[in-house]
Amino acid sequence: MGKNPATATSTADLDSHATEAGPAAASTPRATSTSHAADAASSPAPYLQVRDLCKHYGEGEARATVLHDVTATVNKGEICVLLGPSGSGKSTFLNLVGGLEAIDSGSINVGGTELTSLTPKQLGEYRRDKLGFVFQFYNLVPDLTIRENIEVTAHLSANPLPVDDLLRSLGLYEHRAKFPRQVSGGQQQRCAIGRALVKNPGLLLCDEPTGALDYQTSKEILELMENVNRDYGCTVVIVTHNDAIKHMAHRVLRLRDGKLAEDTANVERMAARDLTW
Amino acid sequence: MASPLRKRFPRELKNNLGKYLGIFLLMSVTIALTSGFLLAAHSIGVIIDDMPEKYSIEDARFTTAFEATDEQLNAAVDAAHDAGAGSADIFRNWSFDADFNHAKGDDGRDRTLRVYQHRTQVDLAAYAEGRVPEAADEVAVDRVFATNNGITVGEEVELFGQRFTVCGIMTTSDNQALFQNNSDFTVNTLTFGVAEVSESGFAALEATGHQPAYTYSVRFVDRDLTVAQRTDAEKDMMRALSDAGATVDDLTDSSANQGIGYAADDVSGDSTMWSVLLYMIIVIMAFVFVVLTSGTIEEESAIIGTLLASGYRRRELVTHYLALPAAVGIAAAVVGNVAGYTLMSEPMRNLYYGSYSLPPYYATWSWGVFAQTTVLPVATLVGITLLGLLRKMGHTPLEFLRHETSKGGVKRGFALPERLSFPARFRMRVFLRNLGNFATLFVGIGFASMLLLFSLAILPTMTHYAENLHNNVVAEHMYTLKAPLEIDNAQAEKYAVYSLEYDRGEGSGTETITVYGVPEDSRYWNDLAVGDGHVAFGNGLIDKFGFADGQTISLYDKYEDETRKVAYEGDAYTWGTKSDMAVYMSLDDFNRFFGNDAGYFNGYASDQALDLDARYLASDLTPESMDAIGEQFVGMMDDMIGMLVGLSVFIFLVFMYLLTKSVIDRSARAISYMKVFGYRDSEISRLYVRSITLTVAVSLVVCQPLIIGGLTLLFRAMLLAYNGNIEIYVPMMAIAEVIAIGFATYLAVALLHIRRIKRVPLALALKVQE
Repeated sequence: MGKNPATATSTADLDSHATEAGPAAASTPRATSTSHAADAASSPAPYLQVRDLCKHYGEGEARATVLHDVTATVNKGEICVLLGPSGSGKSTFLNLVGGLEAIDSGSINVGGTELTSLTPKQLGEYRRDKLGFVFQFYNLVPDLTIRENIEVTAHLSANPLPVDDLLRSLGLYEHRAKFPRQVSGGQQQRCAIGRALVKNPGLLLCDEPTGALDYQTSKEILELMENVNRDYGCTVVIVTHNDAIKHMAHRVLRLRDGKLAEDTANVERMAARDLTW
Repeated sequence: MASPLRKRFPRELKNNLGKYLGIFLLMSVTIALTSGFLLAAHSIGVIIDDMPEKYSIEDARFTTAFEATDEQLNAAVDAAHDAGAGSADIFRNWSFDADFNHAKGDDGRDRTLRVYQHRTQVDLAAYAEGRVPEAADEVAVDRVFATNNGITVGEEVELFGQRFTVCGIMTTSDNQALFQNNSDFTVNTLTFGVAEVSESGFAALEATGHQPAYTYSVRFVDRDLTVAQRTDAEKDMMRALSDAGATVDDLTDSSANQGIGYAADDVSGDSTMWSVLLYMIIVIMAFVFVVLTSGTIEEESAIIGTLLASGYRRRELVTHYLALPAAVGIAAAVVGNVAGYTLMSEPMRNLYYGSYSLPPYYATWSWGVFAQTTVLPVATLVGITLLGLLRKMGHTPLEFLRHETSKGGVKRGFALPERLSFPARFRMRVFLRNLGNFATLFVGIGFASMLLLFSLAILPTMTHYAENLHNNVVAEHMYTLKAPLEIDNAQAEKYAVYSLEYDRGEGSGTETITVYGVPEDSRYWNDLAVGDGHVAFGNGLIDKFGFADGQTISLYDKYEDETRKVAYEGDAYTWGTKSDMAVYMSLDDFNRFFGNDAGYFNGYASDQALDLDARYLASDLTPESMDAIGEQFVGMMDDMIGMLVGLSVFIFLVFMYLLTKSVIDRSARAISYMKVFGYRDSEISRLYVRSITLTVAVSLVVCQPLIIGGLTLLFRAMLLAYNGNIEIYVPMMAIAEVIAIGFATYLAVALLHIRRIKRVPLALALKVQE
């Protein structure tokens, strides 16, 4: 599939939304986030470090090992694409990094926080302070408007990004008073990204963010994530089984049967708009 | 082949045990109470229905000022015949209202026993214990009075200071309800009772110098006379008695005799109340089912869409979702009925046997009661749930697949002002999304509050009523005389009194209106605007019947068969408390009004006790005698109130739990998202539980004025057919208690919800749901 002109237009729109937001409004999210980007550019310090990570479900004969001695590092400000077929342990990896499930053995360190030793309550604080989540099926609260869905997480942060600026940069400002059911899947996913981004997290975890979208919308979303990574400097982990997406990543991890089968730094990255599949 | 969906039932039951258990418990407890009550009420009804023939209950009674002669009585019998009522028998049924004291250890309280000579032809007694009095010093005492005053067989008691031995405990068929005066509002089982003595015992009482009430009971030979035929004949009989020179003080047909008819009326009225209570709970319960099932359908929208798209018929799915509510309803009806018949019938029976003097109890099966407590509740529950389901399931498979079954998102999906804080808007969204739940909750809270407020206000209302009656007695002694009797006492004031009937209309019978003729500038009736033809109305009359200024009111004189008219002249001519049902005029106007001789009177108002000739004395009313009414109600209602308060709290608990739990359940996925995003449990609880808390608190407060208004109307409707005027008196404390109890119940529920929110798993957010 070739490059779609509409995608390029769309990306331009996204950028223009960000710049048209006005100096005061637009500068706030950027000013906060450039530190991530600057740090990433000057010294690629590790942000996510996973060591000998193991996870199994069930006991006795029903015991199934989902992750087996996985060790990987993602640097600050990188986009990491985690690939693998269904059942390879991608989602479990994401859940463990997200502090949603308990680790059996090994360690996970995110931005200096060692997750292994955290209590469930501390894991909640960790998610609150450091993480943004994007899900395949958006997981928006159906009876909150687009704006209110973003405010759900803005409410958690002492210094959230200005919601209206974010809505403009996501191309959702005109739709802010609509409910999720009243907008397209792509717009819902933008809203989900906005919700993850508004508290300016250090790590953005995306579970099949384009899995429910058509080709064109998927590319728009990937471009948006690329922009987010660039503008806000957050580290992004994208779980997908779409092999083409790896080309936009700084780092590619591949899981197979719970084991890390590939850990590659991508030296010839493609822009998201140039991806085809 | 049975639907494979049925395999979901046990899992659904297990997963939502609290929901089904709550509904089951509330329904079964209500059905148990109702069926227990209705079975007891039906059985008592059968017993009472059998009484007129089994115990030869009189058709009417009249009282003359002095002993009626044979000629006078024969004239009355002839008059009955001439009126077309056929033969009538007149039985001497004299009685003494004797001062009663325990021979040993009496507490000094004033008690009165109405003592009859043992009757063998009319108004027969049923003995529960002991035997009929034979010796001159033996007495048989009414069962309820005996119970309330700790009287046992073999004990010695005093009547008019004469010593008697209690030989039996019994009930009399003409005093099933112990009314000292037929116009009293309620029974008095504490300080008033009836008793029987032997012929020689009666003579012993006569020998004390007291005059009996010269009452005669009438029984027509023709047992098929209608009440109208009977009362017509009775009026003719009274006229004949008067014509023959007798002074008739009172005439009471058995249909108007509260001692005979009140218990049956009360049981019947209470049966209606219990049935209404049951159906209100069932209907609200059905709406709870509709709300909860709607929530389930919304939750399972995609599954339903898939099943419909796969070829399932709508009917099959409706049946599936109806099955559990129906099963719970049937199980509750069965368990409730079994518990009602085995456990509740006895306590319910005791509610009446503690207040009414009825013959020994035996239970009677009733298919009507069975249908009322089993078939109808289940049919109502299933019917309303089915209607709700049909409405909810009327969407296309595509709408189900797209989760477009709830109009809430569109209808209530308006933008909220952004100037409001995010938590405020979020809470409003929670409220709007669950409007159906909250509306049903409001009705449930209103219903439980009404029951609770009724329970908490009934005693203050009756105490307030008793206080009014106490205040209506203007002097320490209100002596009523059988004939004028001159005395020399400066502070005693003459007055005249007579009873008339006012037709309440709408088939509600007649109200007994006491007409007083009082001295102008009386020392007892202060500031009463009477004289020069002016008539003052008791405030109770105005409050109950709402007479308009200038309205002419017709009052019927049943002894003279005449209608007399008085005009209401407005607020300036009202007097007394809201329970004062009298009409006042000056003594001169009174005598002109009734055609009496100038100077006629038949009573003394006095702050000092007067030494009056007992032969002339009809009654001595004191303010303290009115206090017994308040006490009586406390005694009668205590158990009932406890039961109603318990039921109200239970209803609060179940409704609040079910409907607010449903709010949390519907939001479980959103709660899980919030946990994933890093919300603390306490923050989530604040967002969700505070919305619910606010709604519950507002519902509790807002429904109070509605309830008070509703209760006032209900009270008026319920009590219209009774003599007297009772204004519902709701102390602020009772309202505060209702709100406090309701809110305390909610707090218990809220704690469960906070726990529930803590338990919402993070994994729920991770489950794939399109």
